[in-house]
Amino acid sequence: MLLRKSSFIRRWLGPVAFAASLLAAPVAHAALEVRVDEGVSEPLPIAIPDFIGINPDASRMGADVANVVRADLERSGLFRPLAPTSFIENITDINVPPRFGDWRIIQAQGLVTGQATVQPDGRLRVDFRLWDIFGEEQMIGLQYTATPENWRRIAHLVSDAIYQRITGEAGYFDTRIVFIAESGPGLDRRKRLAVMDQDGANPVFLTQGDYLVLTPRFNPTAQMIAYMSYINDRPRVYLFDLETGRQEMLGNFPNMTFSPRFSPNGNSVVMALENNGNSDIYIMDLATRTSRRLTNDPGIDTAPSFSPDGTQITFESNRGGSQQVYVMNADGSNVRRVSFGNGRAGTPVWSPRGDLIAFTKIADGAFRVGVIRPDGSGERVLSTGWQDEGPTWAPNGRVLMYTRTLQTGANGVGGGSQIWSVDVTGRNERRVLAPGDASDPAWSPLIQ
Amino acid sequence: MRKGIIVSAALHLGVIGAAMVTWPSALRLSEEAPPSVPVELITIAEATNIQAAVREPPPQPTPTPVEAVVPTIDPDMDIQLAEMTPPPPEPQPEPEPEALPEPEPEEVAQAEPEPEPPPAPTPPSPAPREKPAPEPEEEFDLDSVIALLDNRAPRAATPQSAPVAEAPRRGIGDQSAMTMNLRDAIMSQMRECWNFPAGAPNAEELFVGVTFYLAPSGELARAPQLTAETRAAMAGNAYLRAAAEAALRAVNICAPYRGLPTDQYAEWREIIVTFDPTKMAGR
Repeated sequence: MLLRKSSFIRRWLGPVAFAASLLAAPVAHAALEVRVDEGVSEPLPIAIPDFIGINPDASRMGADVANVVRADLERSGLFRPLAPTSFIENITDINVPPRFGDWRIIQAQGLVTGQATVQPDGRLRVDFRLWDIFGEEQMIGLQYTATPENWRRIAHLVSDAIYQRITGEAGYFDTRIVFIAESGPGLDRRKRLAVMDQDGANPVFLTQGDYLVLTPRFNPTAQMIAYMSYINDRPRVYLFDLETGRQEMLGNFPNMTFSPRFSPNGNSVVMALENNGNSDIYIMDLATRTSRRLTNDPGIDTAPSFSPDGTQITFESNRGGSQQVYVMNADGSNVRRVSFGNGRAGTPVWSPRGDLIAFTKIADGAFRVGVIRPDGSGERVLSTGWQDEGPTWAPNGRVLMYTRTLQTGANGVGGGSQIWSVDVTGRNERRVLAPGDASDPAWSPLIQ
Repeated sequence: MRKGIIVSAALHLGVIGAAMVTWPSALRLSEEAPPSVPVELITIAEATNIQAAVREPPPQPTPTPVEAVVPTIDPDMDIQLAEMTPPPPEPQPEPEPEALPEPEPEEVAQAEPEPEPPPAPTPPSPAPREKPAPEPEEEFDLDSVIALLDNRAPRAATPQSAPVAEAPRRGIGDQSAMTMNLRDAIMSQMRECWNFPAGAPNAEELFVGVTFYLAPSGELARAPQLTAETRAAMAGNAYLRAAAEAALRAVNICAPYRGLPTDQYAEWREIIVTFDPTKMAGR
């Protein structure tokens, strides 16, 4: 009986009610539809209290880890870590949900709680949870275990996890930078190959500075560096194995080789080879050490860089009369010009995301770092210095680093070179810390 | 008063901005860089000299082999990773007036916070926390307290007394002047709250729809929801998920909504906002 009644209701009353609601809707119950097409772009306020620890050692570790995480996220320009002095709730147990209201009052939108534990086997364990303050739920919770010396890497991995969960794209904090460390007076400048963590920590010099080194680039596993060096006054491309410290010349070319870069699979290196004032692009297979010529043009072709899928190469050439950015297929076919703006364009680098090519734009008496789509559209200048050049991408294609040369003052004071970074949106331009003067940065992939 | 807040906010931002630029460099340079430079130099120099003598007879002017004893990128890295499931909800989240209705006795019983088993990555189960939908009318409302403490720049809302739909035109539903004014009121507030996640690839395609219900006070009557369309599109798209979460935050942060005439409550009780990224993505 009940069943029948309900089926009757469904069959007859339903449509009637639906029709009635249609009539009534505009008057009383229609949802107000609003389109919002403007907003702000501000760093997300996030609270990251020191990670807790059950003993003083662990507490100190926890505080150190939280410090690195705060610094990482702040530097990205997408987060604004709140001052710990403003916190109301004192986190004492990360396995209990926080008092969300306490965090809303200080206008936090995210909260990271964490704990550091030194295990009986001596290893460091870091647990953390990221909380959505408005949604009142955990967004992610992870646990890392490693030897205590690797605490900074753990902190970077925590930052990467938070960054990825909130922005939707992979982080870039657990990465390194290879660069040229410069020291000494202008005429007797020492240039050494060096690596450091992405945040400037742990700098290590790989060469002594007896000879000039230029344009270092990581391979996809971040274990090998290709670069150009003037050892014995023979400017050639070299490989440096970070694991063994071994250094070797790549190939045995009669003339200068320069501007090397690894292919995305790491099996080959593209570079430029000079021959009687002309230079063309070659690719060398690292296993067989055989090389193949990709361009054959009387103009100067240099600075090759693969697309992340390995099917195309962008490079710079003056074949059209002035230095511009070009793209070709990986076998050298189908060359087309990409940059058409005013001035010149050089040192193109394909984004790991594939959507953009970064390059140095030389116009109006200044060098600036810009980006352009591979089809030549959407050119944008990102940096604001007097001489910014040689961009390199973070592995997530979101941030760029480059060399900024400072202008020497009228009194001869000043000058020097620094590494700077900028967001692909053109925001958050800031200096990257390096020991002393530094140039030619190249970002590593995410360390595996 | 308001001027004071604006001036204060501007000064704070200035100080934070200045600190962001100057602090890290001041601190870091002095802390980390200097000590490591000489140490590494010595190591490399020794190693280089030794190796140069031992090295194989170079067939031709090969590079002076620089055998730097470089720490590899991950010495004995093996960082282990495990996922942690969300903890059970707290017995009584006191400051939440909404949470009073149902204390959920069973959950309390098993609410012993215990450390998860370290390995065995388990997929994070959806948070067990369930908030009973609050009634539109509340005597005490935490959000309004927060709003009082809110020292951000005042929103460009139409004043409470502003006559909405002064000159009603002929028309129905969303075409009327009244709804247009309501829309403007909501939009102008949302604009200040929507923190657009710039920089995503194809950011101009990240449209997000959010439905929410307001109490006559302008407070959220319940937690805002993504529209079914957005929810469906979001599966497997981390960028859209990030954009959707930013949209939900915007709706939350913006409450209470001001300048909405109570006599037209029926018109703005339910709101569907479309966050349209086309303009913002181009910037």
